[in-house]
Amino acid sequence: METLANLAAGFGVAFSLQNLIYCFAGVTLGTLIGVLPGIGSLAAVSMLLPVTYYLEPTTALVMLAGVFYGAEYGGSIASILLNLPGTASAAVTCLDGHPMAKKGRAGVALFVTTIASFVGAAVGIIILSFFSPVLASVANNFTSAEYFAVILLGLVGAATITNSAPMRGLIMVAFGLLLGAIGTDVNSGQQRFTHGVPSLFDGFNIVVVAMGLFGVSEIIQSIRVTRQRTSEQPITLRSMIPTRQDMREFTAPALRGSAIGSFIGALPGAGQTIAAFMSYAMEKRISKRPEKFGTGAIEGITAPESANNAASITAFIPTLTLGIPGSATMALILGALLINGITPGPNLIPQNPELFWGLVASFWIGNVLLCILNIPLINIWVRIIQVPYGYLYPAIIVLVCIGVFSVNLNILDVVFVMAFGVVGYLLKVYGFEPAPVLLGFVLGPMLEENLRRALLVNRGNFMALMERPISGTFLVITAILLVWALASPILRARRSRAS
Amino acid sequence: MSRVSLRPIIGYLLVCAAAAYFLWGGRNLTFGQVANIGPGFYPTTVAIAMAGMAAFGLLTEIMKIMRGAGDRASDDERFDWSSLAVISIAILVFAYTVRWVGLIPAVVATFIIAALADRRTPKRMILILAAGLALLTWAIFIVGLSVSIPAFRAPW
Repeated sequence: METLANLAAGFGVAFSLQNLIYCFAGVTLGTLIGVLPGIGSLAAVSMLLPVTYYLEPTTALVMLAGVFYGAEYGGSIASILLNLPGTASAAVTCLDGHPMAKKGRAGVALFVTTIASFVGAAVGIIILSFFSPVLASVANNFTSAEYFAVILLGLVGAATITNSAPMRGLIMVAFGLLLGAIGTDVNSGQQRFTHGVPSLFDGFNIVVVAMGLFGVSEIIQSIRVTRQRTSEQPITLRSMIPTRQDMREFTAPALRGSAIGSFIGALPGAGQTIAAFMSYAMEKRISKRPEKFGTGAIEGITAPESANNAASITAFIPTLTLGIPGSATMALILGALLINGITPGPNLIPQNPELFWGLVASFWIGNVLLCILNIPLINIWVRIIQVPYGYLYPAIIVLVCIGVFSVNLNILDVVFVMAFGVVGYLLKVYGFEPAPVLLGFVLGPMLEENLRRALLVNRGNFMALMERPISGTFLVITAILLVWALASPILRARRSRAS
Repeated sequence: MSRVSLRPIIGYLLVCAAAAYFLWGGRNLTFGQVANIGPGFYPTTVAIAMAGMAAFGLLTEIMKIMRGAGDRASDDERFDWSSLAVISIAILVFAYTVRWVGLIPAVVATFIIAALADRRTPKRMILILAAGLALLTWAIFIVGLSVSIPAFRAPW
């Protein structure tokens, strides 16, 4: 009952005119970003970070979150119509969504994915509302030892689980941790790696790192790759109505997908892409007719779309209650809160109830808005898909420049954005994913501070951290992941020799 | 017969260089004791771990090539130097003109240079879009958000 009362208060916050406008702006922009292949939600959220300097913390969070989950809706549109995933997690939707479009059932596919997305998000929001306060009260007993262990697990998990090359992911985390160490050491006041440049005394600005690594480098990469768009027929509302058979095959996969997605989204390092792939694999395994997957099965688009939307909501649980983001985009959301002087952690819900419950309420509003954007207004997006990339990316570059420059009116920040863009492009070309770099960059200072405190309290005895039940468990899991990551190149070499 | 791809090796070498930079740059920072770590403890530890993993990766790649199991160089490996250069120049032009001539001219210049990276875009279209973007920038950033960057500035 208390949750409902809190939620009612949250709706009071979310229904303020300003929050409504920014919620609408966020989900619309998110859908736009999701529809356009070549820019993901990570790039979009990083490009919007400067705007949060001008907004209230709740409003800023409502908007950034809207971009994030809105992109999951938009991503499926490009998957179905073009067979090009608009976001990484929508790649699974191509498998059965595009065959449906080829059979002339694009309308049904778009309708079903929207409803599946809404079901997934709804389950995710309910779990977020009930589970976050519980987790926060557990986390209240955390000391620096537990925080160190959880942050380390989050970093190692994010680098190894999602990545096809786990050790490369770990190297990128280390790179991010080192970038995060640049600036003035908070304890000794010593300068680290600043070379006496005053702009670096506070370290790199998160806006600069994120926009360079994701915005600029993604654009450089996609200029040559993106094909010219084909023309698409407009979608009529009549063609969106599913058959009775479709509806019968919809409910169970949507609920299973939501459950898998909610669970995976809350884990550090997993996220929407893994959630979508896992739920697709599960539907295929339990299906009585697995052969119809890949030819336009309703279950094949329902389950992954529910899963990735549920995961995009539950990803907020560890970010808000522990202050530990599970993915690079969540690290940006955390950064946006820190910019506004709010430290996420177990005290966030008691101290800023209007922020937490306002955000939860805005999830409901945002997802209803997304249903409107994706069903009656679908033809706007069908037309936008046809805008050539060559017209869009120069404008995005300009927005990146203005955004970065407006934060501190510092020309050097713009130069740094270019440098990070080049670094991000080089990393991608040489097979390194830049996303873990950002996670390391944001979590690095927290990792160092908690390690320092934990070692100080335990008089330099690292084994004392292993003896505490919670931190010990986390450290053991971390160690297992590390061993697996380091062994994987050897195992792969064996396998390639055998074949 | 195609050549063996050297890309994995170059990648790990670049990472080693980055780790070496942080080791070298942190050589004068106080390391401290384990019970009371100094500013050098954490970056040095992380840089050693990074260098160690990169060296390990480098070794496995070299062994793979020596066994003749290295990946073959392929066409999509081609580095898009021109896009990289054009986008970098566009951003630098913004950085060094915005103070000098004001926001609107900097936006127009940056847009036009960046658009040139995709040769398929018609030149007339670039000019029309640049003008449109200049108007939008003025409406959103100067009028709407009233950012403290002058729209136009005489360079003298």
